Amino acid sequence: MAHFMKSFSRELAAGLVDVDPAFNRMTITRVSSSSWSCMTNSCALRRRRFPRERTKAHEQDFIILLFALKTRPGLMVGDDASASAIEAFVSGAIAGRRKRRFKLSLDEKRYLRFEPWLNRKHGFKDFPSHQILRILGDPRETQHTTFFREYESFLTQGGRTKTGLDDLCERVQAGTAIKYVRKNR
Amino acid sequence: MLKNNGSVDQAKPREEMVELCEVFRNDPFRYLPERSISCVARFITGYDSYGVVLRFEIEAFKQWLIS
Repeated sequence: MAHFMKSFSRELAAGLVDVDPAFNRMTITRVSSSSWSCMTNSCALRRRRFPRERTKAHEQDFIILLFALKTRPGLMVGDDASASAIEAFVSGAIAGRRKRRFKLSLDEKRYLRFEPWLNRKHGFKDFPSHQILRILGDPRETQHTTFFREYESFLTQGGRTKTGLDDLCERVQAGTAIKYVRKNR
Repeated sequence: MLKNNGSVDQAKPREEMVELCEVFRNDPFRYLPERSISCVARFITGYDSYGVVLRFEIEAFKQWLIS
């Protein structure tokens, strides 16, 4: 950033870059290759060109995080979407929210009851859930699929209620972006 | 208790990182399902997205490791 500001101010002084007085728009007439790469890599400029809708951390919905993990695991946990990786990610999210002193939502509290439920269901006692999934999972399906099959079963109480991730959330195409929203809110 | 509405990041990333590393060293199964680098990486990704921003600390660590 410091390097960018240095080169940017140099070009500003040379009259190569016109800046709008309101600083909303910037016109680049001619620019050297090194500072162009700096500019394109600069977060500040990227943010101005492609403004993002920012959701504050306390407004982020935990169930939407899980839905996004279910539909596009590669975005969050990478190629290795094993049960332990998913659990570590979700554990990190919950620990982070706790650290920032946010109140745990009902969905988060429900997630914390998943491991005892899995133990009860399969007749284990205080066994880590990722190991249960590893033992009982079908070898033909991935651990990611097994995890979310069991979690859906936990949420819907074995298919009796319509409170699964697919019932609660949906994927919306907004232009080129994809958004995950809660259905009934 | 300190109130935080999420708009201001009140924690210091370096102190957070040191604190987390102490927990991983002394009591790894408090947060992690397994004692592995990949699990630590996933945990920090989740922590970073929903808690304190640690990505710059991780980047600094990577740069230090490479150099």
